Amino acid sequence: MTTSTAQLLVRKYRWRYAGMIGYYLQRVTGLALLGYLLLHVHTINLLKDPAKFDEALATFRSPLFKLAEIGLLATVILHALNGIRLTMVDCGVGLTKQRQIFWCFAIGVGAILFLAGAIPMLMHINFQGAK
Amino acid sequence: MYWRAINWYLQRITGAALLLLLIMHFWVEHFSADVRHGELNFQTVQTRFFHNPWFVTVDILFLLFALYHGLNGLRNIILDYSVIGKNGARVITVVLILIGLVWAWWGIDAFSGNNLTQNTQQLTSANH
Amino acid sequence: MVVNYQPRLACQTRVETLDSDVITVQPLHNLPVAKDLVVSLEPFFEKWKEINPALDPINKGSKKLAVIPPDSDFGKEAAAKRDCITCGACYSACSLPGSNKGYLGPAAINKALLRLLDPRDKDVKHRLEVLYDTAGIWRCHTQFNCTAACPKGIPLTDSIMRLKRAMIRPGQFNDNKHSTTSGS
Repeated sequence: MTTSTAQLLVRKYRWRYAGMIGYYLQRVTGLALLGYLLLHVHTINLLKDPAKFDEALATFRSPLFKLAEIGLLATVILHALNGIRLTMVDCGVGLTKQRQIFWCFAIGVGAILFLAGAIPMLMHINFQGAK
Repeated sequence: MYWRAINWYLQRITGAALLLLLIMHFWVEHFSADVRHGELNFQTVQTRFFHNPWFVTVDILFLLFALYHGLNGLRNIILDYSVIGKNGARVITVVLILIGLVWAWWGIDAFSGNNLTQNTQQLTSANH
Repeated sequence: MVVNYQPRLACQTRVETLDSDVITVQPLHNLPVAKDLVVSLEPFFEKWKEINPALDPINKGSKKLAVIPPDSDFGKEAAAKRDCITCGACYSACSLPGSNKGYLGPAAINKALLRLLDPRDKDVKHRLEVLYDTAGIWRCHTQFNCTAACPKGIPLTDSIMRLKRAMIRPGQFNDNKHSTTSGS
């Protein structure tokens, strides 16, 4: 049988088992959330200047920021669910099923939760202009 | 002292706590009565904060837990690279603790209010 | 060797099981290449020696056999952990020995746990110190590659995890010690 390029690539990266994908995911989402925290604390500090605060909130209503918020939702869900999986595994629970837990729980349930939040959020975006 | 062992447990514990705090925070910010019926702006946020001290408490707890969990995670990422050396690891730990303290102060200071605080508190107490 | 991107025992990998007409061979990861596909296992064995892999008997001068019955608690625990042939596949599969040259690696940690659990072994303090180090068990981030790569099927991630949990009460490894002689 001939091995296609696609098959070779799959074989090369399949070694990146769920454990490995989960590892990268946790780090990337974690760093992203730290960055978000920086921005968020900065915004809350604007409470000291009412005009600037309202200005910031107005910016956050723009479609670009609303889409970024949806991205934030995905980031939080992935980090949290994979974090639950890691804590379970750390307690010795589900060690033999850690791959299934990753795909079915962290990714599967995560996707459902994400859609439950993202679809209403998308529907509320006013693409014509900020409110 | 077994700091690293305690640290390992705390990372998991703060993670779980953050999930709860997130849900609480999110509920308050997006689904509580005054946000659903009114617009989110300085006035509503200000009133809510100084109306009920629980809001600020949850927020500050959330911040502190998030800082511990996040900066600890960052420390783990950095320590995975042996190129920084043993002394580098100690320096990183100290630096991250300092960053955490400054960041925490910065966040808590955001609730210190402004010159409108006084008026808002008088208004809310007058309305009741 | 790393065959088709997975660290394995080349001598036990049959071409027909690879199910491919393209076979990629590479030297083991995370180890210095001596020549072509040959790597030096020196770093691997340095970590191995660090945790004092030999049995350090409590009853060194004893003339009696120190038996561990297979159905005893430790006998059952040891059954899975002692099969290590120091092939280095786990060390190669994990990404941490690549970025952190001091990381002990799954094989060394597993061996250390095996000795810590052994009621006949008296070296608890020194091994715990090595494991507790920043480049010890704490550098594991549950990638699970080690468990997947081990040709002996040793649940390595589980061993490392057990140690992480146990570090909050390291005295527990002193609890099971007794100068075992035959029978007990």
